[in-house]
Amino acid sequence: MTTSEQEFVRRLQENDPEAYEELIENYADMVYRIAYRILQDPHDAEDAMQETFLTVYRRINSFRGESKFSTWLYRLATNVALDMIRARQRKQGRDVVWDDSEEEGAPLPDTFTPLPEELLLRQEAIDLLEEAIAHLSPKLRTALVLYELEGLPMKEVAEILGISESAAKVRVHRARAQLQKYLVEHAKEVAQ
Amino acid sequence: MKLHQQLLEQLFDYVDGLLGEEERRRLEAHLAECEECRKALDNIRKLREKARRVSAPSLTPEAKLRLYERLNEERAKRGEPLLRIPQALLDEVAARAKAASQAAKEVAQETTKAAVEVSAAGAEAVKTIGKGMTRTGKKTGEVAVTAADSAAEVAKEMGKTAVDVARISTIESAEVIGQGFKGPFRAMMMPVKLSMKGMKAGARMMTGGAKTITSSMKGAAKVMQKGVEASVTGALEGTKAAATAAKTSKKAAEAGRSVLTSAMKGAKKVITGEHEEDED
Repeated sequence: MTTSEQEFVRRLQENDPEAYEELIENYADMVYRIAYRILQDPHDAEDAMQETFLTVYRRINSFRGESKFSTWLYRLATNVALDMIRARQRKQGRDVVWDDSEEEGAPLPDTFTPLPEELLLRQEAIDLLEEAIAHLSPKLRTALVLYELEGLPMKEVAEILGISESAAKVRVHRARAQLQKYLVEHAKEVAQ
Repeated sequence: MKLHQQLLEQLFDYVDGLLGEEERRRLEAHLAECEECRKALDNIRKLREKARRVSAPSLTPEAKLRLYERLNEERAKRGEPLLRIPQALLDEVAARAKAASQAAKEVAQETTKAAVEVSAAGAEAVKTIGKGMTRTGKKTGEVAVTAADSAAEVAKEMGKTAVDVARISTIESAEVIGQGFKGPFRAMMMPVKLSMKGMKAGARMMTGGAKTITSSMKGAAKVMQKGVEASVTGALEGTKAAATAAKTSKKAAEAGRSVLTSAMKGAKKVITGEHEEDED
């Protein structure tokens, strides 16, 4: 943590209202964006954002400064969003036990079907990609969002997710392989 | 394309810059020889570029304001000093609310205007159809009067013929009977004469009947002519009314389109307003 970051955290811990105003002004966009990308719904994303900032307010004194403040905030936002998905699934009467082995233990497919060149050049490919991201499991989607869309280093992704760097890498690779598969299967729809 | 799992992992790591120096060199040597792996690598890179362009909606000023309010609610419960909501944020939210309200007002005005136009057009159509019906009714009335006139004429003709026949028969029969009193021969011839007179009267009756029939036919022809005229007028009026109704429908459709355009403009204003302000 930089000195200015340490100073900022100290002011938050002292419950300085101006520090909270800075917190909102500097991080609200980022927290909302992460929440939206994981939850895929603007209303849920707003709820998750509010819950994340309330958690900072309630738990700032438990922050020990072992990671960057932004990493801690990312982790809170990610956990709040994933908890909301679990609650949503529970409400729908669905099984909320997410099978890690399916995501992390299973090998990557040994076949690789390249996407048609013309598809990758088309604007519709972005829409299809958004659809494919929405179809990923919450864990794979979160890893992909943090690494690929937010552009965070793998080490930080691992820290946010509370897993090893190699496990984070596996999740990102699985997510990419599943995106590729989804796009190949749905490429015809775009071509039409 | 059959790609070894380890090779795919390496391609991902290569794109991410996560390979060690030695591994990277070995992979590059392989790529120089293997076209399929080069294709796969190109595909992975392009997909990654696309993924980075997947956007998320921006946080709206309203959502940010609600965040301030939510935190202040929590602070108020604990009796802690409230956060100061930036004036710029309040101004932005107010400006957007005003723009949205203005857009909604414009849509409402256009809708009212269109509703008035539709209503006026509808009233006009009803008026025209009414006029057409009145004209048709008038023509039908005229036909009825003509028919009545013709019927009266026929009845008059028939009555006249009957009176004439009766008068002539009476006079002629009286003459024959009068002559019968003048001599026995004449008296003997009286029934013959009477029967001849009867025959004549019958012939006159027939002539009268023929006249009556002619008169009736004339009357019927007049009625038919008037009927045809009334039908033609009715058809013309109906066509006019239909044309006016079509015009009215067109006006109503135009008015509807105007409402839709206005609604779309309003919606666009609201949306554009959001984007512009988001970018700010």
